[in-house]
Amino acid sequence: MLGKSSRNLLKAIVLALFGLWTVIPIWMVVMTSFKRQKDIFTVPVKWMFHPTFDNYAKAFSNGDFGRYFMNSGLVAVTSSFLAVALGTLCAYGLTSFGMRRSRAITNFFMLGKLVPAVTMLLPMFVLLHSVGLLGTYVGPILAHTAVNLPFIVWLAISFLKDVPKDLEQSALIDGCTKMQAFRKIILPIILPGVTAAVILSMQYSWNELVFAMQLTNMDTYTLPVGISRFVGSVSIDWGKSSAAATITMVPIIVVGFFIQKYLAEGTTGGAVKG
Amino acid sequence: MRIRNLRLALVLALIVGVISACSSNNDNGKSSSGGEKTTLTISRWAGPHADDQKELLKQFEKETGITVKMDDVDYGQLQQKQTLNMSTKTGEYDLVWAQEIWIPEYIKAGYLHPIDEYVSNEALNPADFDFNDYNPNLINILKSDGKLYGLPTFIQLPIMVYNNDMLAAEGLTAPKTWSETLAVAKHFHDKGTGIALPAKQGQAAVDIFSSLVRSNNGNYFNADGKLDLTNPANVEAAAFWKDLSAVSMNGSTNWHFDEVNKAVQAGQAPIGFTISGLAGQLEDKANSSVAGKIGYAPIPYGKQAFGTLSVWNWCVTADSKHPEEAYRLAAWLTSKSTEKQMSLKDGQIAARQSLFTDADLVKQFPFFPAVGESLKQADTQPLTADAPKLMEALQTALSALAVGNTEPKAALEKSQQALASVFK
Amino acid sequence: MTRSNRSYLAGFLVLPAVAVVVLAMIVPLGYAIVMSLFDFQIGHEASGEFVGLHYYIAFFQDDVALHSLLTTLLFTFVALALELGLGIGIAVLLTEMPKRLSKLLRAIYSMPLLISPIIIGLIWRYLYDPTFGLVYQWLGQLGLADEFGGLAKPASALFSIIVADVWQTTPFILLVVTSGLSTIPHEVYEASRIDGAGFLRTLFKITLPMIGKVIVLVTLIRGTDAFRVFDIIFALTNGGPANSTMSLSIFAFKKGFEQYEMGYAMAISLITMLILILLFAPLVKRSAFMTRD
Repeated sequence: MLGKSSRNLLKAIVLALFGLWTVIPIWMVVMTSFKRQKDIFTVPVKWMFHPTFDNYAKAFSNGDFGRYFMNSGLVAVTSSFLAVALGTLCAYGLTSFGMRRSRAITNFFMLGKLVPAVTMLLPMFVLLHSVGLLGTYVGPILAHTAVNLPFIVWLAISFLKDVPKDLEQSALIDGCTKMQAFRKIILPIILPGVTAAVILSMQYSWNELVFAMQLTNMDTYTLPVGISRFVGSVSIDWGKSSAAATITMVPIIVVGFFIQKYLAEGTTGGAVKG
Repeated sequence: MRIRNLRLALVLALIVGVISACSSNNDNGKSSSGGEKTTLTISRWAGPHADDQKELLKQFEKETGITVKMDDVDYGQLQQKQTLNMSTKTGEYDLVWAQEIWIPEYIKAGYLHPIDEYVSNEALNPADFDFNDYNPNLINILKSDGKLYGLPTFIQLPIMVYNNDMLAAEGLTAPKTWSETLAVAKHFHDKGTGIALPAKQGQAAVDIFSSLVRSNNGNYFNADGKLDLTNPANVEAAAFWKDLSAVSMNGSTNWHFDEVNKAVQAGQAPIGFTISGLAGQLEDKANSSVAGKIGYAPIPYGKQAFGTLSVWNWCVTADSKHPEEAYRLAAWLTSKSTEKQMSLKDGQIAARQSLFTDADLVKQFPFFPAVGESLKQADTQPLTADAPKLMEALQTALSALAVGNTEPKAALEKSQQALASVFK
Repeated sequence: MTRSNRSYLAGFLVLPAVAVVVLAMIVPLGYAIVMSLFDFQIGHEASGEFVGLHYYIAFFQDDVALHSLLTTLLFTFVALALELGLGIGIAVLLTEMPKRLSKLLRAIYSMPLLISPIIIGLIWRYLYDPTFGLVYQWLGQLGLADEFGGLAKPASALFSIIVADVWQTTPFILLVVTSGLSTIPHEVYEASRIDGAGFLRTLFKITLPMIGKVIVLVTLIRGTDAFRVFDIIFALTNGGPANSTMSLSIFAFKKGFEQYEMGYAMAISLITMLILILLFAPLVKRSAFMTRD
């Protein structure tokens, strides 16, 4: 048996290694984005170099990043709000009303989760065109919401099941309506789960490429579509690609950082049990 | 039950309402068909070539008053986007840039608008139009049932490049034939590098292979037009591909032309197979450490040099609301003066015969003669509606050969069998 | 509130989500089922030729198809095992750290999850570059660079992609398991500490059973995603070399949009779905929402 301090050291080493494994690949891209061409293609990799902003200038002159940003933000925020709101409420409806077909409906969501994207694309394209909404934000928002919904419903159900039933009961006895009980009692308890759902659905939408490219047009392209124009199959301009990649990565990482705060901060099931 | 349906409909309506409230109202400026202010949307792949073209389009807008929007997307998604739009008849694109291998399928599916009546309409053509200057072989690709479906513009052709300094340092001379190339590649492979090959599972390898096959008097089809992958000339070409891969640079088996070009540009690769459209970057003094040091030659040959060309074409879509204006733009983009300006910018090879010998261009881009040489004996990949399946089978076979997983004859036999039901 | 009012409310809560999924997924699914029985061209569905189950039979006679099924299974199981092991392990380790530190670390660890697949492709193409890449440089220092084929050799390409996938999606497991762990009452740990249980004992006797349902859930979500893997392979190898990384989704995409065999592509997608149901249905029964209160 290891002693307590050496066990702690071991844990620290594991966590540090995992941190390096996570950070180094990202750091490579950020670093490359500030390198001149001749500093990029070196053996071994240069860790110290004279930084330049040329790659950013090139990337910005090549793409309408302001617009991509706006579009991405709009699509990601709207679709993840819709997915989390609809999904959580749906899960509440399924778990807490003694609904007769709740099990069948839950299975139905499971089926939705399994539909391959390749299958969705063509029918959605035709559908959106026939109602005149092709090329608008509706396409990616609808697709992203739909892709995220099934797993959010699952996630929310599994968290709701952990909430003690008597909590809701006592709120109802105190005169709350069902919805008030949900908002005041249940939501705070499942907040960590909801936060995870927000992060996950937002990251999917922010990064998704195929729907965002095929269901939109030049005015509604999102960031991944924008950067695929340099990072895609043709270009190997590492400097410019890295700059574009950094521009895309940083905002969602920063947002992720702030949202994470709520992840483990919701009132825990145990704390309210008494 | 009825109430439930009603509720469903209400909720659906609500969702659509909410979502469309936050969707944008831009209609692309397409509604104005009065002729006063026409907007054309064109589809092509993104990259430096597209950026240069955008600059040139400003001249067209000034001359004609027509606004042009270029929707340049990643090459990997281009065909899908064009196909979805044209098949659903969205009218999103007026003019599409299409590769020759897509053309038969596009024509067969009725996606394209015939342009014969426009070609003969002087009013739509620029002053230096000169239809006969287009390479006639390339024009033929765009014809079906006597109708013309586009104008050819941008030619790509695999070529061999070598670093003169690195060859000279080893006392080697530029190779031309298979055996010479193999010897040079082996020499460098023994010293830790080798030949840079685009041997990734994909179309680049097949383009190289088709050159090898034809340069050895081989063919994928026999005299009766039946698929005949395993004839001896083809097997020899496959054996050469395998041998060459064995002395290729580390990583080549996951490289496309772009990575080969990068390795040559960075002075790492002594010799490699790249594509004419990227060769201009090697001569770009700002970014290339090898500008002025590179030699160019056709892909090495078994019996005599033979090139495999691919060509990009401007095609008017069948669902365009402004086919005349779209044609006018295509004619302008492929006119002699526009093509020359484009070539001067980045070394692109245009489908205009008169430009191969243009003194200004040859001076700036030393590989023009090599490409011109290759073009004398060159053809496209087979162009039938089933050709994509042949290409796919060959991609798999060549990738397996490149990594040494199989033998030349066996690989081709396997492809032949896999295609038996397609090519009867 | 009356009983019937309540069930109206329940219906009102459930229906919008159901509607979205029906509209965007079930309708396309029906379309796919019908079209998989036809030889048709996009835009000319009406003139398609009815071929019955031809494509489904063809799938099981097609070497490339069967090989891609195997590749997909291998990818799913290896990636899932590594991601679950790492994700749960790190999540549990983090609960033992001081709160502020664990929060900071978790935020750092979750970065890869937030990055677009296109950029993941870019990052790993850099890292695996045989000349300039960090992976080869470091392996070279260990004298292993020649042994490792990276993305360029069939023997190592799939594994190399799995490594990239593990890098990207372990944080997903970490995130969900963390939120599951946060619902375990502190008293439980304290009780076990007082009993003098060691780290491993606490892990296997207390922690894992308590978050069992969450683990089943992430296995389901991640497993079904892994089985449909597309982006990362598309970005790194496009199915090569020698088809060694051809997954079912890549295969379907190539058939549908590169070779215009839409009917076959739809059939491949549906077979993918059927296999998924077979594989994961047993897990669904065990997951949280299937157990009666």
